[in-house]
Amino acid sequence: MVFSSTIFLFGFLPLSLLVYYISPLRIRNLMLFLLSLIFYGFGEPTYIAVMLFSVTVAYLTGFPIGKYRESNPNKAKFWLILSVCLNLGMLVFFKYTNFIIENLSLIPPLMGVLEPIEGLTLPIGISFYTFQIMSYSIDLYRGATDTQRSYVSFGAYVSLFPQLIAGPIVRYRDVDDQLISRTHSVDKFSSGVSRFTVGFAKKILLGDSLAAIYAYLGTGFAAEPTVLTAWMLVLTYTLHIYFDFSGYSDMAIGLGRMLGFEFLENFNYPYLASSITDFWRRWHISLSSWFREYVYIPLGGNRKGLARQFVNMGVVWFLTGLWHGAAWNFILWGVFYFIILSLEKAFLLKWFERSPATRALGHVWALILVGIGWMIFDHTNLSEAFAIMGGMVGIGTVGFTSTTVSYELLRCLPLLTVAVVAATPYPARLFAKLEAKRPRLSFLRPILIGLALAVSVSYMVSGTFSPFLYYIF
Amino acid sequence: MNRKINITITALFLVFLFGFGIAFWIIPDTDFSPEENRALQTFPSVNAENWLDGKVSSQLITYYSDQFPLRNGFVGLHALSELGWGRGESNGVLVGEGGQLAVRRFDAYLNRSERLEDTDHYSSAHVDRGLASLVSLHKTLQSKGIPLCVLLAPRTVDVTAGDFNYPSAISDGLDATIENAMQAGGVNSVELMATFRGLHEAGEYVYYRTDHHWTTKGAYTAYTAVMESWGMGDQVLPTDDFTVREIPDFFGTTHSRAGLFFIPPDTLEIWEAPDDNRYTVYEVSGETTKTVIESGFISEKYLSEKDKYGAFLDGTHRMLFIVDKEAAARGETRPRLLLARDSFANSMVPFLARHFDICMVNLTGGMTNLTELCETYDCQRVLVVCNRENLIASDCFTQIQ
Repeated sequence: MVFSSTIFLFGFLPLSLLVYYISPLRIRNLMLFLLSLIFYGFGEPTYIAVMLFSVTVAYLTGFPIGKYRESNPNKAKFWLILSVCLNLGMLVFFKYTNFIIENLSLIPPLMGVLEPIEGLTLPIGISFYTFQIMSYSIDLYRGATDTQRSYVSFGAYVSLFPQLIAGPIVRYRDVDDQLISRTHSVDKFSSGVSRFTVGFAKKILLGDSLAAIYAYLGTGFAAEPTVLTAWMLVLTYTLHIYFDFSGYSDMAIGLGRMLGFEFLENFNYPYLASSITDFWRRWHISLSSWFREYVYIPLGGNRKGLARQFVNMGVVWFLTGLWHGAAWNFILWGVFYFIILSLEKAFLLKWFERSPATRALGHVWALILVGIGWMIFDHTNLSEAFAIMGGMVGIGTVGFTSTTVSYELLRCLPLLTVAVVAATPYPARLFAKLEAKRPRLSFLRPILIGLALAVSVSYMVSGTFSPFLYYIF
Repeated sequence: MNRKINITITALFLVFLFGFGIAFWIIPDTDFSPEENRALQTFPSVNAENWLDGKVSSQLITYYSDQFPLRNGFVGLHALSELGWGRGESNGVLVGEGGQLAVRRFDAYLNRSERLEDTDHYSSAHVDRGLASLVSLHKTLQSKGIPLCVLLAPRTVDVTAGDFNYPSAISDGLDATIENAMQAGGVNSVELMATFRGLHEAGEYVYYRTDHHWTTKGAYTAYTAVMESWGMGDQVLPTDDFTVREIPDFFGTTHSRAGLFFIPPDTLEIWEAPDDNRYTVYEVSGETTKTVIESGFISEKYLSEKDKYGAFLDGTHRMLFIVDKEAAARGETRPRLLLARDSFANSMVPFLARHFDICMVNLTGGMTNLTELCETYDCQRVLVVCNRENLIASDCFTQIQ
């Protein structure tokens, strides 16, 4: 079930809020766990077992890890390795088996030996919850948190429906206290509503609209490739994926607040980044910090010399790419970032700092490379991505623009402008400033929220408005 | 102050969620949406098997959306906000002056196997293949002494381009391609784009505003042009021979797709002559024949429904015969016309039927072997009437023999 569906917003959510708030405090985690299982089981009835298996493994191994971590670290390490291997094993099996088989089959002696497993689909959210579960086992081993003795509370942490299927990846130690006690108030709830609505509007009004234009331009590019189409493809996808993903994170954070949780931020205006290094501090923060904390630093980070640091970066970015999907374009995407980040580390970052002009160049560099990166990211068929990149510099195009592309650009200009502005902090800052000056403007908040909700719902409902026309009979 | 605002926001949100959530279950379900002309999802039947394979959940998601309270209101709000973005269109439908609508985005063939969806491009190679089939049909028929006339009806967007700021380059390009190919192949092709554009710009009601077809007046214009192309211009029935019956409140297919509630309806005109009763319409399917319309050309039941254009010859049939039963009773034989068509032809038939017995076959429904049909049913003329969209978006032309 996705948040941007009528069944979630007008079925599951009100039901969950009702059940949650009429339950006594001590059984609220149980209720959350059960509701989250319903949420998950609705779309993935068979794979619910996979998630419960991972939860149970981490829960059970948590006891020996906690018990031995000081008295007998080797024993604790054994249980940690067991937990991590079983969890990662599930992820690798479901997500990468067929990818591995397909690629092994390309090696002549193995051709035809292995057959891809039919019907093996990816359990929704497995990449997210596996990482969450691992953060528990590892942090527990490191002494950063304590053993969770309640299966219900641990299960509720992993399966918590706001962040279950698309993040943010909440580290266990960031919410362990909240699992025991968390505050509920009208102020917190209302800030959750605001945050949820902002995310909902970002996803539906901007993200989905941009996706439709991107799809239209994509077919246009296939039929009549022009330079402008290539650039528009990059621009619309870059904006689309930001509003789609950060909108979803906003909704998760907002829903969390409605249930009394505070999750860490996942995005910080990534397209304002002054370099690619900066971009990755602002984009999908929970994932990049997970890799830093659980892969990069344990490998030695930057403490073992420059050569080793590049190797470590290579490992992290290969894995980051692979995490996004079992296909070569994702791996290439990770390697692409590894190369750029290495260049920045080697000399570019220092150079960007030299003057305001080079700083500005850093912003342009970051934006263009991120955009190009998205084309690799979005095209499993890499030749299509390369065609668009070529198109950006006029290779393989039939002209700079065509009448319909110019028309489309002109007609999208208001939407694109709003999207570009909304990807910066300025509108929120402006509103806060105005509100500080004239506190009475606060009355606008509920009106804006109501309006955003109504219009977003209208987009959601019309999404399934599909006239079956006798059209040309 | 802030607390009051927070209470308001919380209350507003909860009322919205619970209000619609409860209304959803209270309001009875509807089975059919006339606006969309499709059946709506009703509550799915649940059992372990279809729950486990995820069928129930996807049906439930559709059920929730299809049966959502005030659904049409929300669809309208969506269309309004789309216009609010200044896009001048809704759901791929251009919205122009005076409530003129025109579909801008179509599906199209990219090559023989790949299709593009929702685009305003077309593949010239695919169009060329379709036109080449028409040329070869012309050659085959010519060798048998059977005249062929082709009328590729312009799309609404081609005719009404001036009502929008939409570039007409694609329409013009397509028009030129068709004209050149037909001329080069020596095909008698009736070119009407310039005519219809001129008439539309002069304020004549030749294409509907809310539907993708030409109006009855448009069909009459097409009929006149076809007759003239056969050198039968002197036999064209004058407009005075007809009395016009107006059917108001016609909301056509384009209106449905745009979802814009404030666009005023069209008026569908039925041009009737005193002797309409002598004609009858019957369907031939294999060995069996079935009367579709006993007298005249209009299937009255459609006139009270949404799909009013379907009244002309009772909508879609694979093969229809339109004959003058009085002449037949007298033992007279009239010349027979093979009409290979899509829906545009339906409103032309009431005019053509005064001159010919008509064997009408559904080109888009796979009736593409016209040479054989012509022999089987002993037709002395062939007329192809089809919308240009089918040249781009369907495979029927390339299959014509």
